[in-house]
Amino acid sequence: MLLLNLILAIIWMALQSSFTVIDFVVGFVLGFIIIGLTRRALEEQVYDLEARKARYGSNDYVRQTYRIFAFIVFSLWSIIKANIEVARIVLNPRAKLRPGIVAMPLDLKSDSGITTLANLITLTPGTVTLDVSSDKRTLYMHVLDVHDAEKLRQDTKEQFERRVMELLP
Amino acid sequence: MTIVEFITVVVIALGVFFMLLTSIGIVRLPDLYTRVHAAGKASTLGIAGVLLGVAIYSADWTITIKMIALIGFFLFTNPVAAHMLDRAAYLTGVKAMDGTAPDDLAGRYDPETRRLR
Repeated sequence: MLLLNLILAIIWMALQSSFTVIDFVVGFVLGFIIIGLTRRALEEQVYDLEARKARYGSNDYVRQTYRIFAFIVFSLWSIIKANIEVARIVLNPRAKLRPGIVAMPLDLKSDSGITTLANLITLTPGTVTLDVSSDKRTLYMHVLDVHDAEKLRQDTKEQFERRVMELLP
Repeated sequence: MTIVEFITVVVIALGVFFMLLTSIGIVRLPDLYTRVHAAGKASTLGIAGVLLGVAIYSADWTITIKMIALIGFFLFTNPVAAHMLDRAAYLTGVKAMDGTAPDDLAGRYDPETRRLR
């Protein structure tokens, strides 16, 4: 936590682009306030991380970095595709929409994994996350065009959840 | 016009185009849930485009890094806003457009506590 606080102070100085003692103190105090406000979420994160390590062993650093990089590229590409699709729907006056709300069972266990998946679903073509059930087993999403709910579940699971699973199981 | 200026203009123009698309989408789409699709996706890319333009144009590397960090923050927070809008709308009973076919969420909320079962 102290390390995190120091890092936050350094980020503050970098964003201010002035490295004086006063900036460091201000950054440190602000970092302390942020850590105080987000303490509960942070503790869960640390717990998540340790549980993951215990279950899967620590990851190969090089491979993990490669995976994260591939994931970011994939996400950006999906976002661009999603926007082209939104453009098509908005600009085409006679686009026929068949929206619906589809439930999808989750295999992901960790909170951070589910959050990442939910964000990814929102930013990618045709789907917006609505809610996750209290037992974290089902994710509900609003879909712009339901042709085949079962196929959609399959695709989302295979394309998105599998990738998130590799990073944050 | 230098190459950097040209790229900047193209990227910012794309960003502004997607923001315009968001506005058109909000006016034209039939109900709140479909509008959130436009607002949640196109505006994210729109803001990202404008910020990326600033990042490319600016000669100061600290500004470039700040802009890239900002794009990252928008990618994290905008979907959360979209999700909260959708959820709040569903909880307060905003009607979806006619023909919203499967509604797997129907009757899943506890009307008293508003917790999802």
